[in-house]
Amino acid sequence: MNTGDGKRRLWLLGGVVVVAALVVGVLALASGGDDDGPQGLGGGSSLQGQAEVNRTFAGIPQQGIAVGDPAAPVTVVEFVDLQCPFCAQFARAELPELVRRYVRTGKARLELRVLTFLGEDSLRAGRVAAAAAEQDRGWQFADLFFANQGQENSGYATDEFLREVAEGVDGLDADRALADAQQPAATAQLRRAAAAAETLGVSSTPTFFASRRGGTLEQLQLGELTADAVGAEIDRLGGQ
Amino acid sequence: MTADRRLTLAIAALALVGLGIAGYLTYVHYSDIEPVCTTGGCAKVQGSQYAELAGVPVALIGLLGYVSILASLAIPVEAGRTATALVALIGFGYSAYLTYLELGVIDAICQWCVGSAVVMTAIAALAVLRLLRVP
Repeated sequence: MNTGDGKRRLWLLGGVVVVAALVVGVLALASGGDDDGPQGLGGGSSLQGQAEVNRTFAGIPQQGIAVGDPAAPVTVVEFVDLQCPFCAQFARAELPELVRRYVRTGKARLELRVLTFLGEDSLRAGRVAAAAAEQDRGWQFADLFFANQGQENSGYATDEFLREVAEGVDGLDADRALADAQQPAATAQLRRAAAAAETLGVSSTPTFFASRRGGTLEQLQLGELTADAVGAEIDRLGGQ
Repeated sequence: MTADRRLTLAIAALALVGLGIAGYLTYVHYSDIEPVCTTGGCAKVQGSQYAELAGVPVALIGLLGYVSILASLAIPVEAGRTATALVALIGFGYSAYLTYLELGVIDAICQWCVGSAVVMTAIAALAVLRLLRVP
């Protein structure tokens, strides 16, 4: 390789490296590369995790607060507050795997009980979650809310924010959900969840209960908050 | 056998390995089954929001990348060597980004993804060497 040719090839390589870096940068941004954790939308930015949430639940039957085959041998009940950071962590990191392994396969159905004890933002969001459940989209709404959870009680759960989350859920009529959120049915659903929490002695979120079909709910004592840990309990109950 | 020929064959062999890994992960994705996994995090990584790019499985994009690398090896002029290096460097950069996501965001390791990243890194190094050498 003579000197001139060598320099030309180095310049060529430099150009290739620059183009490759630009392409990788674009790909990283397109895949949510600036997503460093749960956060509020703010500034009109797009929803985090929208595609994953819709993909997680796509095609799985839902009835109100329940997702999964009604004939599944095990029912898991999760108590959450939509502002609870650990609930959001579980929803983001573990729920997709749990749904994929246990709900899609018909081994378990999941029920979502939304509590609103953390503050006004919890109540506003919880009302819309309840209204979304009336459209059989409660799990998607809660999951997408968790993916975009903001600073606790900062007033971020505005109608605009909640509408944007609702509009991100496939098949959910956002206008109807926001209107229904103020109706007695949504209030009644939240009251039922609160009453169940009191009866079962729920003092924090997320708290999980499970039962074999037709059986009595028992609180799951999870060593770690993972899909594997919840799945092991489902396997135990399902194997009885 | 010339050095250029040896580099070409080495890249082709590595690309075939990568093609096998990406093909398997693409099959797993569309079959909705769990990948064979010894690291424990494959299903978590495959089920994460980063497993798709604009609705296209990342595994399928990787598969197309390896096919592109193999196709570019058949072009016996500098444009072919440049294309090989470009695709390989893009693959290397994106693999590095995905590995960062596994470690820092998803908090799970997928052995297949790591394997593909290692293969793509080796291909990128060889492709750069091949581009700089006179055939």
